[in-house]
Amino acid sequence: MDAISDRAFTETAATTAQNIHKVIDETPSLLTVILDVHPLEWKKYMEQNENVEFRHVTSAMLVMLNSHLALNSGNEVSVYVANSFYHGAKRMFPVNEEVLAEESVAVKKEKDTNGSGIVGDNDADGDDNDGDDDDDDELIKVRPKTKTGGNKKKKSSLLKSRGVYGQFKAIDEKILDALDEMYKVEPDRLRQIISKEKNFVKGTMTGAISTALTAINKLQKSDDKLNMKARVMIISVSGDNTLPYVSMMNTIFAAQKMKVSLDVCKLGEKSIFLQQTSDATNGVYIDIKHPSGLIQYLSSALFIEPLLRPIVVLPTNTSVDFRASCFVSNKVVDIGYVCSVCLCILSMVPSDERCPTCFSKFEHKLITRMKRKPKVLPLEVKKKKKTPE
Amino acid sequence: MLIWRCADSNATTNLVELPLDTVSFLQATPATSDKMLLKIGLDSDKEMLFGFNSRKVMDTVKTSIQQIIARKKTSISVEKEKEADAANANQALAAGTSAGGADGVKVPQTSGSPDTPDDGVKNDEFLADLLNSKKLMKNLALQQRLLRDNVKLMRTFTEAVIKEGMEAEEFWKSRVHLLRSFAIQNNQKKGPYNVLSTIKPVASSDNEVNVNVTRDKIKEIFKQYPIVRKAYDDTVPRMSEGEFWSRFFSSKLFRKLRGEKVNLYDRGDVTLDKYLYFDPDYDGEEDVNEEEVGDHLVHEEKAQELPSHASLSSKAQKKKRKVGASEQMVKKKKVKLFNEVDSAVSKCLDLEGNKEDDPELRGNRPDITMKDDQDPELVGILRTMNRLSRRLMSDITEEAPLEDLDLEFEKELELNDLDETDEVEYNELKYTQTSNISSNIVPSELITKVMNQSNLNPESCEYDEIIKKLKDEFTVEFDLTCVYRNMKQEGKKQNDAYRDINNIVKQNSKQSQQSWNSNLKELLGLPSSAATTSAANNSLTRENTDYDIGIKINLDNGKIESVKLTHATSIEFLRQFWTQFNRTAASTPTTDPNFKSDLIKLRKYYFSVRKCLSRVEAQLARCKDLKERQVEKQMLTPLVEALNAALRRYEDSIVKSK
Repeated sequence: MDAISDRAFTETAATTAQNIHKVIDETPSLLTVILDVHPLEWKKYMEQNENVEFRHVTSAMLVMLNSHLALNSGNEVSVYVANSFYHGAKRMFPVNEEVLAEESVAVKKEKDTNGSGIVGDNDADGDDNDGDDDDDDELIKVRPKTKTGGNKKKKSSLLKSRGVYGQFKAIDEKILDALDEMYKVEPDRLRQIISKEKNFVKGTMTGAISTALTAINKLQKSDDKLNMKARVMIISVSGDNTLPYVSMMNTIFAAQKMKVSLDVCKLGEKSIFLQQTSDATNGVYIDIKHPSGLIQYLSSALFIEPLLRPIVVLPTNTSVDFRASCFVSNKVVDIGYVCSVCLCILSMVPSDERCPTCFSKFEHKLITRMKRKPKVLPLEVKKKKKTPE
Repeated sequence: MLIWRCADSNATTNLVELPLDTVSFLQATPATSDKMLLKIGLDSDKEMLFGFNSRKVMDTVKTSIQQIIARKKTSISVEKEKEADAANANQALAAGTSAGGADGVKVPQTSGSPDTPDDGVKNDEFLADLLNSKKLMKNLALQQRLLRDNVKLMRTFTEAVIKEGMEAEEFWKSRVHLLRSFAIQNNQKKGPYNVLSTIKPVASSDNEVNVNVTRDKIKEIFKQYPIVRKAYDDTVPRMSEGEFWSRFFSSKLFRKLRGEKVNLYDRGDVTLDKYLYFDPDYDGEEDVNEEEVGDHLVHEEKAQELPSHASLSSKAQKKKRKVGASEQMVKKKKVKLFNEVDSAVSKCLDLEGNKEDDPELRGNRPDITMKDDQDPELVGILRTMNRLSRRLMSDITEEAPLEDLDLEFEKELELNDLDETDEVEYNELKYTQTSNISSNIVPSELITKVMNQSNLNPESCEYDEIIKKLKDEFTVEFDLTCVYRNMKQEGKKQNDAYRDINNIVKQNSKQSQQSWNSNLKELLGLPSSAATTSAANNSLTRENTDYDIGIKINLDNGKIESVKLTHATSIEFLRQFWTQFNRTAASTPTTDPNFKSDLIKLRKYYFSVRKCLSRVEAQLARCKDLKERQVEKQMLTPLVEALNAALRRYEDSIVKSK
């Protein structure tokens, strides 16, 4: 437990007059961006902020990545998506060619089985669906070609490339392509994702964070990039109800141990778990109040190199809400109950008087005592009658 | 009758006599303070101030007078008892002596040595007594003392209990822990410590060196350094006590015992410095012996001291001046010889341990005390310090019974590795992720809606709309330059964002300024003086900036204090309310005989909470300035919410009878 609760970010104390120059020296670092693409939350957000579009956020993100790359020739970037219903948490950049090839095969197979599974429906659906299916088929055929470079010219039109520095262009195009493909493959109807055999939706934010942390760990252990500093920036639109509490806490502890800061750029409503995340990992949590000025946030508040953290006053929200969420209802708890065996947090007394997590039996007497309703007298002083229970 | 007389029997002039039944109050300086004063107030509005030079004596006097007064007040005192106590008090009082000094050394006079009771056992019982919550609740004197000590608590107490009529018992009931810790704090006893290191000569204005020593400290010195006691015994009849101590503190002996290096050319004291050459192990070796016997150091020392003292004094009387240092050298040798023959060699020697501890085996130099050519001065200092810590330790073990040495050896001889190893048992928890599955990211209503749709001609749901839109976004070319252009078009949004960030940074920097400043100084290798001054500034201005409510507080201190007071009082009543509320909720008429009265009490508390709310309103109304009222309102909003929550909870719980 000590190792877990150890506040891993105590580098300030270690920096002394002797090693100040070494510490603040410019060393290359990795910037990982996790983009929340939850379709329903985006819909909600775009309805609330009319002049914000997903493409604006994507463009701002690309500009941020470019500026990170511009700072140091050794700097690296990577991009993940989270909360995509179909793909789950997935790395968009840098693309692993092998995985991609495998995936395309898998996707194709899945498509085929899906298609065969609901053949009748498809036929009956009529023109709309047919058209889509065609599109998809075409895509699958096309994708290997784009990777080999056959169709590159057609694809690169997604980025207006005039005047863009070549290296940025290469990376930005790749990221845009990947996002584009992701959306193209994503089924048009939720029905196609939620079917009887596969009635869950993949890819939470925690999944994306842990994938990112794994990749960072791998990078930091590799010989040529040994101990490269890294930070993660999360662009989130979803609320706390999409965050599984226990996994979230586990990823926080993992990041803490790896000394990787998690910055949070929060669009839409506040998220107390993400607040806790950045608080525990010496990161920056910032609620975006002016979404059209997003690039300003990204290039200043959320642009602090890991090495500068000990000496910079972070523009983070310091009043952190430390509440936890109920393990059963997944709602944030004000006053709740805690299982004395496994410490699971409950917002209500479970009806079977057992802990829903570890199945320890609770004492019946205590539960009945806890459930007893408070007894009070009515306010009229004249009536000295005790209220019936 | 309280009699205060000089311990010196021939000075009968300064005699104080007080009839005890006129005593109205007692006040003593707290244990933390250096001064030891006892104030006794009389019914006739007179106050007497007594100075003591030993805290123990003062405490004894205080407690005995307290007991007497307590008995008097409860008027169950039997005359005899009173007299006995008074006599006791007198005896104790005799110890309190006036301070006199010579050569600028302040030393109490020898006569009338204190007869403080052995408080070992008594103290334990006393503590157990103290920690009893019921007794704590009844200990009015303790409560008063705590209130006097803790200004903040006092203020809450006057506001809630005296002005608003909360019962004192209720007030203390929720603060038993405070009483307990206060009681313990006031009854703590100091363990042995290196006395000489605490004695620091202070240069006075008129070029004299002053050393302050209390009787307790002298006692400790004698206990820790038998050699000083010996020197004292040898010399004091000849020179006055004051002279002895003043010479002692300027002697080389003092420096050596303190563990300082003694230079050859240091000014010393001829008489006392001969003890430098006295066998330093004179008592130390004996200590070891006696420890093995398992006796208490003090007792042994006394026992040891008596015969030697007797023999010495008889010798001294006979050939007082003739035999000087040489005599003592002989004696020293005697002691040493005696020790060498008699000192028992432990039968159980840890050979392995010796091997491990031998630095030479690893190619290192031998231990500092084991070198042939080591500076004897240095070794001497080390030995002195070792001897001292040995004595201190043996003094502590006095309280915990020494473990049987045989048992210890047995334990050492046990072959633990043949024992069966204890297996660590874990309780397996079957953790199931009921809420943790990622399907949470799609609301279940939507899933069921989609699942229940017929496959024929499905309605488009929210997801379908948005995914189409998102897909469309990727059909248009991305122009990164539009990131900035858009921002401009919408009216310099970057400025808003910039201001937003700047505000957060400003707020954070204010909070972390202190630590940041010192960090920076440290980083740059500068002295942290600037950091400390800024810290001082911070603490000065703290009063006004210590609140994290996101507003600047421009109120004067008096107003802030009044807001604080309102807040503290209301919290007090809230606490009382909730305690009672939860207690009655958990009990039934069958389990609690006082159920009915508890209910009535709870209702009373409800009304006092309500009154708190009106008090808060009155506090706000008192504020004439609009801006200030705004600030106060902001400060009190959480309190108002808490009060309302309590009221609502009570009102909700009322069961409406039909």
